[in-house]
Amino acid sequence: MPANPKYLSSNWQKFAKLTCGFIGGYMVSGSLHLLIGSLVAQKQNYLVTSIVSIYLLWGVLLILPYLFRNGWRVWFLYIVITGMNIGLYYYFL
Amino acid sequence: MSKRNYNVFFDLHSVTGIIISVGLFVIFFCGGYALVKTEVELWEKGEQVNHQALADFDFDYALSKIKERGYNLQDADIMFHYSEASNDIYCLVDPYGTATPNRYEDAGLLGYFKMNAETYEIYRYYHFYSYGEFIYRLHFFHQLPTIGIYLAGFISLFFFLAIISGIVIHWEKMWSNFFLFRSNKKLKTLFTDLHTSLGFIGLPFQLMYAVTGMFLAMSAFALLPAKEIYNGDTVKVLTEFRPTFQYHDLSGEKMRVPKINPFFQKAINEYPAMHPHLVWVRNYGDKSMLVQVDGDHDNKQFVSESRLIYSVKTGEVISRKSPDKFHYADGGMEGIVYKSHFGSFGGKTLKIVYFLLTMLSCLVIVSGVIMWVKARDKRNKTEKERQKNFTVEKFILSVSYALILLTAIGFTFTLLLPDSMQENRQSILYSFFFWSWLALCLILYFTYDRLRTAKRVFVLSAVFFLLAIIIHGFTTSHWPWKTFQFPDQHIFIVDVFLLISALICLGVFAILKTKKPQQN
Repeated sequence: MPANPKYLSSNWQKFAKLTCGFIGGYMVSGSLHLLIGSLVAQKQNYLVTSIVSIYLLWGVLLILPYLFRNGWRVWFLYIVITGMNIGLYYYFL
Repeated sequence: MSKRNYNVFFDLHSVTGIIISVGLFVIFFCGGYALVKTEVELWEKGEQVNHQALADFDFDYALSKIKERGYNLQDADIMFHYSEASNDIYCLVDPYGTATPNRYEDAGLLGYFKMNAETYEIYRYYHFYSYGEFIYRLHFFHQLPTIGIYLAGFISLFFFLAIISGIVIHWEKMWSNFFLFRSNKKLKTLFTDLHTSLGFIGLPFQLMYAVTGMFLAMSAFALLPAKEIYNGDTVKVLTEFRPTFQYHDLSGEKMRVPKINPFFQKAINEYPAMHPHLVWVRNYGDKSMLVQVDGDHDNKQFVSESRLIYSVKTGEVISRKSPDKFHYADGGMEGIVYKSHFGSFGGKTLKIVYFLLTMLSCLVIVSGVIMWVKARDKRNKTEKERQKNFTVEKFILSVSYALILLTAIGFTFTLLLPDSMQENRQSILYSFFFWSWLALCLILYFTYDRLRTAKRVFVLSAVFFLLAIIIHGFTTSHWPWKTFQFPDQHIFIVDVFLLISALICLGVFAILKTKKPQQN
C-alpha cells in the first residue's frame, strides 16, 4: 500500500517543497494580509478575520508545492508574489 | 486525479502523519481532559461551587482586601474574572493601564492572583496546582518553556496538511469506504477501515481544531502583519482585537470612590439572564473612573455577549454592547474560535460529545501509525528495513500508551496527595508525571509486543480510571450518584469522563482479545 516511489521526487526536491510551503507559504500569506490590511478601510473587521484566514491560506500554500514537479520553481513563484505584495504595500503607503 | 498526484499525496499524508503522530496524540488525548480542566480542580478538592457566594460577591469588600495587602489602587485598573466552575475569582491589578503589573511585582505583590469568593482570601495563581491545570498545560506543551506552544502550533499546521491530503487521497472512494468495516478479518484491515471511517466522521471536528489550534498557539504569526498595519502600535492592535481590554484616559483629578456594588447590580438588573464574565473597575479614584461589566448570554445565539460601561461620576451608561446582535469585530469572531475550541457552547452534554470525538481522533492517530508499519511489512523488504519501521511503531506507541496509563494513574495519585503537600503540588506533579512517563516509555519500549502490550495497557488503564472514581468517592464522599443530584454537574462530569475512558479502554481490550497473535 505505500506510495509508489516512481512518482515521488528526490530528497532535495522534497526539501525544497517543504521549506517552500512552510517558510514561503507564511511569507506569501503574511505579505498578502499586510497588503489587504493596509488597503481596507474597516481595519478592525480585517484584523479579526485575519486571525483565521492567515492560517488557512498558510495551510493551503503549504500543500500547493506538492502539485508541482519542481519545488524550486514554486519557491521562485512565492518569492515573486511576496515581493509584489510588499512592493504594492509600499506603493500604496 | 492523476496517478502521480495520488501517490504524492499518499506519501505526504503518511509521512506528515507519522512525524506529528506522537505530538498530536498528546495534544488530543490531554485536550480531551482539558475540556473539564476547572471541573477536575473541584473534583480533586472535593468542593462544590458556591453559587450564592459568587452571585453575592462583594466588590467593595474585595477591593478593601486588596488594599489591605498593600496595593496602591489610585488610577489602577482592577479586573475580576469569573471562572466557569470555580469558587475562585481571578484578579488582575494593572497599575499603568499597560497590562504589565511590574510595579507590584517589584514590591513583592502579585499582579495576577486568585481571590476566594467565600472567604475573600488572596492566593497566588498556582496556589493549588490542580491535575486539570497540569493536563491542560501539557496539552500545548507548556512545560517546555517558550518553544512548547510554538511546537503545538506547528503540529496544528502540519495536522491541517495531513487532513487535507487525507481528504484528497480518500476523495474518490470516500462514500463507499465509509460503510466498509471488516472487523472480523485481519488486524490490518480492521485498522485500515477504522482509520478511514472514523477519520471521515471526525473530519469537521479535526479541521476546526487544526485551524483554531493554529490561532491559539501561534497568534504571534497573525499579529505580525497586523502590527505593521497599525504602525507598530501593539497596544492598539490588542485593544482593537479585544475591545474589552480598551483603556480609558485618566483625567488627572482625584475623586472619592463610592460603592462599586450598585453598578454591578444595575448591570444585572438590566440583563437578568447574563452570566457575568468580567468585571473591570477602571481608573480607580480618578474622576474618569468606570465600572465595566462583560457577560455571556448563552441562550440567545452562538456568540452573544454584552458589555455595559458605567461612568462612576454620573452613574450613567457610557457604552453598551447589546447581546441581541452579533458583533463580528467586537469579540464575535474570537468568540467563535474560543467556543468551538473549548466546547463551551452546549453545556455538559456537548463536552461529552467533544470528549468522544477527541478519543476517536486518538484512535485515528494510533490506527494510522499501525497501518503505516503494517503496509511496509512486506516480503520484498529486508529484515533490517522491517525492524526499522517496527522501531518507529514501538517508539510512537510506547509513548502514547504510557500517556494513557499515566493519565489514568494520575487521577488517583492526585487524590492521594496529603494535604500537607498541597503547596508543592506543581513540583510533585511534574516529577511524578515526567519521571514515570519516561520510565513507563522505556518499559513498554523494551517489552513491546503489538498485541500483548496494547492489551495490558488498556486493561490496566481501565482499572485505574475506575479506581479513580472509587477513591474519589471514598476520600470526598462525592459518589457519582450523589454528585448527579447537585444543582450543577461540575463534579459529576469528571466521573462521567473517567467512566467513558474506562469503557473505551475495556472496549479496545475486548476487541484485541478476539485477535490471535498470528493474525496481527
